[in-house]
Amino acid sequence: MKRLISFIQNRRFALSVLCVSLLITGSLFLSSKILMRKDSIIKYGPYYNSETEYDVLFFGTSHVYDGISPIYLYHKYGISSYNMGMNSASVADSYYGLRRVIKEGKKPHAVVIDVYETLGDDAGKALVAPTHYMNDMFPLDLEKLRAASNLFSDKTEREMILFPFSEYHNRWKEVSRNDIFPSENKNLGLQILYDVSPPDKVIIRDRELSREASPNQREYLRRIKELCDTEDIKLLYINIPYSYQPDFQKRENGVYELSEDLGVPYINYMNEASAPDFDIHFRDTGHLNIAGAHVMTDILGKELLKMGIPESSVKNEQYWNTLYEDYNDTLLNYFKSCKDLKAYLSTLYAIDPDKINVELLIGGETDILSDPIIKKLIDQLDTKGFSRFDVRNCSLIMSKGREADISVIIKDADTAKIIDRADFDYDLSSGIIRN
Amino acid sequence: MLFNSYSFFIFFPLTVLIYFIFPKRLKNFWLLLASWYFYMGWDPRFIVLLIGSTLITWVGALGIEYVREKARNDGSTAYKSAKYDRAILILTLVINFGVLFFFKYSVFVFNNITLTLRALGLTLPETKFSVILPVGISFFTFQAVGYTIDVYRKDIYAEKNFLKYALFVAFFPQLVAGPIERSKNLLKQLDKTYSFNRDNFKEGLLLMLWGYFLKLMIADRAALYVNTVYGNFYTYTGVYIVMATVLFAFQIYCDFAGYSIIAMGASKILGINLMDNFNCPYFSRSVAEFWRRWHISLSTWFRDYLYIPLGGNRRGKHRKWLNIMIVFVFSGLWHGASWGFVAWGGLNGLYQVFGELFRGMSKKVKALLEIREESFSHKLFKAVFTFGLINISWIFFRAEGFMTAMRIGKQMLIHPNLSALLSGSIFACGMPIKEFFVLFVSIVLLLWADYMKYKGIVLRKALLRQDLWFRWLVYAGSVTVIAVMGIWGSSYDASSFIYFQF
Repeated sequence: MKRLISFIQNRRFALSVLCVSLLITGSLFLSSKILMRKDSIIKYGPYYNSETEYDVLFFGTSHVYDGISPIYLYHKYGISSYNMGMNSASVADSYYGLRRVIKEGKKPHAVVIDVYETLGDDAGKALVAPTHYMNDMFPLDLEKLRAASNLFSDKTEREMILFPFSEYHNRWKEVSRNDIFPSENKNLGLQILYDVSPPDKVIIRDRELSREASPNQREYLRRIKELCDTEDIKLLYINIPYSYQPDFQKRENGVYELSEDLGVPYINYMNEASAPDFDIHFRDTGHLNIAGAHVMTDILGKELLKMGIPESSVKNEQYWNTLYEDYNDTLLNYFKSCKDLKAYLSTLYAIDPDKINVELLIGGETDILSDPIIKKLIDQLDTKGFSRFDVRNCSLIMSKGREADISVIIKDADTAKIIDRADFDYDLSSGIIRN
Repeated sequence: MLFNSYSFFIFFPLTVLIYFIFPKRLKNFWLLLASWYFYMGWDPRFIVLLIGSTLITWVGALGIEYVREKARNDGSTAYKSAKYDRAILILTLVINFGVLFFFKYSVFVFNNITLTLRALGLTLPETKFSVILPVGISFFTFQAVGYTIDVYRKDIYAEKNFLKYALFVAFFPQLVAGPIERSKNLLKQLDKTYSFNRDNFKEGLLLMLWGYFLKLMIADRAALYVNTVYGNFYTYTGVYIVMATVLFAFQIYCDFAGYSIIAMGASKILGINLMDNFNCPYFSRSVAEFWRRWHISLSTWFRDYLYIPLGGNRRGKHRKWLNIMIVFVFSGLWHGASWGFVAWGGLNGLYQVFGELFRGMSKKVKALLEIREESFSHKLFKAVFTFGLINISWIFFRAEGFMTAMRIGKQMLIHPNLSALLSGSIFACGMPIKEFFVLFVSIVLLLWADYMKYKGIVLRKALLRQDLWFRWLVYAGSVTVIAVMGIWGSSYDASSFIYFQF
């Protein structure tokens, strides 16, 4: 002990060691900040760093991430919400995500959990990537430790979550400006998908065809219920439609029984008539495009109102209006680069109908309307309620010196100024392409 | 426990802190416990082997002294005494090498006997025979056996204190991958205990930092390239294999020297000096010189305990050549039970025998061409030529077995594909070009540091003489660069230390 004391008393040396240690710590801290993947900050930063209170949180996989638009939900129903969904997130990830929310003192009124199972027979086992995304922006704390040790039995996987620098340090060769000045998700967590691709329909509509959900999945659904009860948060289980994995669908039917046991309402939209249309609302087999996201959000909004979720008590109209304006601008900006007619027509459905007028010119020679998907997309626009929506037949549409089959003109509703004009031509080899 | 594992970064500071806090009488005991714990970090079962080997050699050495003492007291003849102490020595060696043989060579011998019998037409039942190789067994066995021989030769007295002797065998910095310490160096240092010393602390940390640089920046990065090419050699042509072999030369050097230097640094912090295991080996101008600079602790072990007892160079040139071949074949076998290692050792022996054979002719050629021995160009030529020879032998070391090495050699010669050099594709093999660039810069830094050492300049001492701000900047910068650009963590399949397997 005497030696230790004399060592400490040797102040100059101790100070020198301290300074070098601080220098090294600072340097490593800075490096880890720059090298960290920014997905977590991009997705969750706006939620945790915002002073706005979000009454409803949506948890789940990519089905949620791409399928629910909080900005649209607020615009339509006045319910403030944030989309916490993340690609491949397990129910366990959602549970630890909700714990984190509560720990950070941002308690919502209601939580909606999508029960889609991501991993077949290993359902409920977490993957490293979504856990990374949900945790990376937080420093090492007990909550992170709990999540890592309960979700992963593998030492390396735990290490990746607890000390992300051990994984991210090799990003030195791909550092970009975005690593120093990261952008943020401006859509309150929604990831916008644009394309239209009708999936192969493998849909089990019979709720009696069920398999028991995996024990791990059930356990975490139960834990979420307990947590919500403790915190007085309303809970809703949902299943956003998709069209594959019959085994998963059977398991999701199995959640009915569990939800009855726990007393949690469960809406499996696979079995609901009002669900998004598989022909026009999907980007692929499992993910809604932006039009589908609006349809899904609409349905959910009605359900949330039925559950008694009130309109946001904090009326920060300027904040929400700005978000909505930017959101519409983002969608409008997409048209300039859009080359695909179906994606174009689908995205039009998501634009605020009061902001634009739409003109559709259909060439006299074309049989483009014989395509049932395009026909459906146009019919859908007709129901949207644009202040002006004209569909006209033209004997000849000329575009850039060649004949076009269909032309879409978007005009500003107030000024009548053309925002975008797209002329599409039917090409035998590559389908419908923009001129 | 690996030096580049998280557990070591907890274990080492704790061990050091407690060592300096503990009173003198407990210091060595603490180090022994820490060393055994360190060994058990790999597989706790094999601590029995380590303690067993320690006990046998300790008792053996005491026994040798006891029979000599008894013979002296009884007035017995020197012959009688020698008979018994030699018997004890032989028994100790047989047990230790027997254990080593069982764990390291039994499968190899069994498989070769089976193959030979099958080749002779005998039908044998399918038998699978496997043995787990305990980590570091070759290192601690050689160290313990070396001690027993030293006692037998009366170079040192037998150590009576078991704890101290056990610490000599198990001293954790050098336990599993050397340097193979000599009793005269390490055991004597364990007589004393050490207080915290600033200079040792600083020098030790700098050594460790350099060791980590070699391991994480060069060895494991080069491994990305080497493993890609050697793992799929049949899809790669000549220049790729040449590049992979040259990089392997640096990989194995930095891997092994890196371990030894970290061991030296860790030991230095505790106040104990371990022997230098590498001395700029790739600046050697002959294969014989290379072996005086490479894995010095093993080379000198073989020199002192095998080559000299076999007669060394005292019994004529033919016997000397035979002794060289014996030593190098054994050295190959020490590295691993495979014909590839035997070939590697044998080839290094042959280089030296041929070097002796052609020495006269070489002198005549030099005289004829008026080549000056001391000219830079000649030195450079010799160093490059030696490096080339060593690289050829590394093919046998790296390839999975002798036949694979031969196939790699054939592949290299038949399809040279020099165009890959011009297209630049050779640089992006198994790693992005930026990784290759970092590897290249790191190797240049290594060669510069080795050159300084070759010239007698100790860089860490030169650094310690610099201004405070400069030193701090170098420390922080080096740690950050190694932490960021080093090959470690979950995103890389970091290599274990190669010499662990021996």
